[in-house]
Amino acid sequence: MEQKDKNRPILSVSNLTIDYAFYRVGPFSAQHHAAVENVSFKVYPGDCFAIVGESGCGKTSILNAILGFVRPKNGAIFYNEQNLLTMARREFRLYRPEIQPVFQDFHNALNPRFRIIEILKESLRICSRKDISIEELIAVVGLGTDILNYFPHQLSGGQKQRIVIARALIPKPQLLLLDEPVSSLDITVAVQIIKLLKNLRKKENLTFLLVSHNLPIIRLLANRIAIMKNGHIFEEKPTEDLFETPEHPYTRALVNQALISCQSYQ
Amino acid sequence: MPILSIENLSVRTRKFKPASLLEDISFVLNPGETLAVIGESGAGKSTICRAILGILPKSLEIRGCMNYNHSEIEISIGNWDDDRQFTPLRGSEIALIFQDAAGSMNPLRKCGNQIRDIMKTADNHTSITKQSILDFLSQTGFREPDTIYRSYPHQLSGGMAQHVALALALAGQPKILIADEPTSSLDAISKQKYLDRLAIMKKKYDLSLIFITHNLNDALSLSDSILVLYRGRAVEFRKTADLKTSPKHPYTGDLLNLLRSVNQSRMPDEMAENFPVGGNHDSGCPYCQKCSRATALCGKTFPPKTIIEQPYYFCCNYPLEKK
Ligand SMILES: Nc1ncnc2c1ncn2[C@@H]1O[C@H](COP(=O)(O)OP(=O)(O)OP(=O)(O)O)[C@@H](O)[C@H]1O
Ligand code: SF4
Ligand SMILES: [Mg+2]
Repeated sequence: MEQKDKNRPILSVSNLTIDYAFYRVGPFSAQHHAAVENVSFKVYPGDCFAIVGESGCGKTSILNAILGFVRPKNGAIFYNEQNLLTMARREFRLYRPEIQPVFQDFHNALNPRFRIIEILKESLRICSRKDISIEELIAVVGLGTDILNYFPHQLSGGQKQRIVIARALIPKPQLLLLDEPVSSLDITVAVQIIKLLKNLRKKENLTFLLVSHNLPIIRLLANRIAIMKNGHIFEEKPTEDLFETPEHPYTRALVNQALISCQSYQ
Repeated sequence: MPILSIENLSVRTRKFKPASLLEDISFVLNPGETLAVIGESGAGKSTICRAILGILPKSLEIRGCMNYNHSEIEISIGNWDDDRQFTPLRGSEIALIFQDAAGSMNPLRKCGNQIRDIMKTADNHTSITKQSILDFLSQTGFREPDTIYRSYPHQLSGGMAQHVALALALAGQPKILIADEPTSSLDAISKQKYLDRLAIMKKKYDLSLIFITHNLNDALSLSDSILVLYRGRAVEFRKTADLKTSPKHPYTGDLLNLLRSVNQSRMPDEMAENFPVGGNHDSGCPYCQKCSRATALCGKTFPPKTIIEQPYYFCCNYPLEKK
């Protein structure tokens, strides 16, 4: 498990098809329209792989499938060459802490009735981590101790997002699944979170699979981007190639729109 | 004559050790114009929206005055504790669109019925026919009004839910529309569709718009004037064109530099790592810990307001010069 072979994908999704006839549950916002059809991609250790597409295109469903919240109709999801979909529940539970989600809806991801310190203490207890103090943990995500006694509603969006990231780090994950990590944050905070994620990826040896719709910002973080629409992945490329030679018409429209909005201030 | 003006709005907690959410905010909204409110998360953008509608929790102490002025209706509010003053404003004069559109609608009622509810209140409880709702829906840009009429909020896609929320707000025939981050969950293409429709509706219904956003690109391309908030303080209020070419406040300057590098796809240079803790007000300039121009004076008292040309101003001891 611990081996980190750069050439072996940490996550390999092949021919994944998700049908929502029966499954509409999961921690991420429920998806009602788009199923996922025959989607394949590979994420290598240390990668930041981004899936970009409009809301409801199926991005979140893929994350839900990896986390075991929905059962795909078809396909396979290999995590370190083990098929998560065919393994026994017990075995799956062993792997699961290594894959941690960071919710899109981080405003509701924290229990409103507990103080931040209680929320984090609880997670540390569940994962029986005694090697790190709460103070150290929130320092990792760039927060000060003054917020520990706050309730979630008293924190700003950026602060909440940092707490959610801190909590996701507690089980010592290998792979972080980030659902729209910065899309509801303003530019100064988004850039700070992007920097935080970049640093964490190096320091903690993490791999990211992230989904987003914000191309300009994601461009600063991701090294590979897949473009998704209506349940299909149309195009997958290294980030800069995608911006220079977008092929599919939808990719081109998306890249263009992103570039046009960037022209408001150059 | 501005349609809405806010003078010295302050919002504080009533605790033993009071914290300040907003301090001394002033701005005006001219009829037919768009005012963008920008600022980082926790700066107080949503608090301003809620204050304008009088929907802040009672645990907060609100000071300042607000003047609403549209044709024959003139409302001045100096005492925020009296809820009744806001009743004639809410929905029918000023409408608010929340970021989470689907979540802010009633999940148990079909969209058509929700629109009927609002139209009824706006039209003093006359009965509203289904046809008039369908007409209204097609006027607000829906190609299949019948489908929207019959849908429950959860059946709408993210982009569509935002469009319906816009229609719901318009059903009350407001003069001012406040949109609190309406596009932050949409991808570039759906966002553009939404902004285009918003622009059309603004013209059609002769609206004045307060657009809250964390997307500076949108703020710059949409607005006539911009209010820049930093930790609950209004640090600069300017015409958009002026702000773009000659920002005065160092925070605005830093923001624009950051935006430029993201727009040009460069990782911005090192920024101050210190993360602000919301509502934690010092007596000095709120930006003094990050500002490259700060001196001891900046840390002592909040810098006085420099008026450029009524009502536009900035608050800084050592403003940026024009490049
Ligand atoms: N009821 C309350 N009591 C105490 N503090 C509060 C309360 N409501 C909000 N705050 C604090 O007020 C500050 C401003 O919050 P507000 O929601 O207005 O920010 P915002 O600019 O809209 O941020 P975002 O971009 O994250 O939406 C924050 O620091 C928040 O923690
Ligand atoms: S008042 Fe001082 S610290 Fe504040 S922005 Fe101006 S120069 Fe910087
Ligand atoms: Mg807000």
